[in-house]
Amino acid sequence: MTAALGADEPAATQPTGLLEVLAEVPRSARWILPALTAAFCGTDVSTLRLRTRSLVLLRVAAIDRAPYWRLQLEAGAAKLGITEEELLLVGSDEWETSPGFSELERAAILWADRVARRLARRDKRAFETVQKHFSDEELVELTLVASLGAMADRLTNALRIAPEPPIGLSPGLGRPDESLGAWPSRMFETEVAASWRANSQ
Amino acid sequence: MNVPPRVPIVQDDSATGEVDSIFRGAEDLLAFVSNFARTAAYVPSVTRWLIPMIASIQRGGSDAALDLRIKELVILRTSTRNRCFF
Repeated sequence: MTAALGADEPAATQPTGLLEVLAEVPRSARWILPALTAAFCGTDVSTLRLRTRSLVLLRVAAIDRAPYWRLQLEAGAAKLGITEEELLLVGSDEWETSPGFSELERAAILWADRVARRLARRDKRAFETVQKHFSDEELVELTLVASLGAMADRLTNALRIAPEPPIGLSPGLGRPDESLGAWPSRMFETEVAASWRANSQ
Repeated sequence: MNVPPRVPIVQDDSATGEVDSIFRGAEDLLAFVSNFARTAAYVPSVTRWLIPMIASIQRGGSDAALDLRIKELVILRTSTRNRCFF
């Protein structure tokens, strides 16, 4: 009876790490990973400094209570000059008054905080603060980084992906040129795009 | 619901280089260039991946794990919770 139910068969291996989970949906993963890499690690044309980028992502991960991304980001923080004390501050509500962060960094963290809390749309004061320090281009990049950070938090939190060693998506540890170079560089001229078109007609 | 945008959207006549490529790709893939794409286009290094990422998640097709009705319900519920009128 037991054998007939397959009790003696080895249990199917469940994907555990983020990359393994994403491999379950290759159609989307091939775009999600380079999008996250470009946003989190920057590219040679990015205007936002890696340290600022990291502080933004750390704040979003703190708001979202995302242990997976906090570990990923903390692993690369020291290389960007982010101290242990600053890690604690950006994860708490004390960052606003800390002299450790520059005014520009505080503005970036404020905007990240509002994006993560879904308050950015109506928070006029936060927008005015961030607007003093960032150009339109930088503001959009800042918002994209925070938004994609929140998306990544939702993904790992919802699927309960356990924290794991760095996978190359930390601003302090990523190598964007090498990792992005491994992905298709011409976005719409691929089999996938052709497949979408064919299936949507 | 109609509040002024925080940054002006990128118009067709000012789209050059990679931004123009992204716009043409969005038209090809989605049949139009959305205001979202026109805003995200300030950062083409991210948007070049973002547009197909969103399309791949939202669209159905033989290589999609979920059917379109389920996807639509999920998207509608998430947008409603986020008060996202776009």
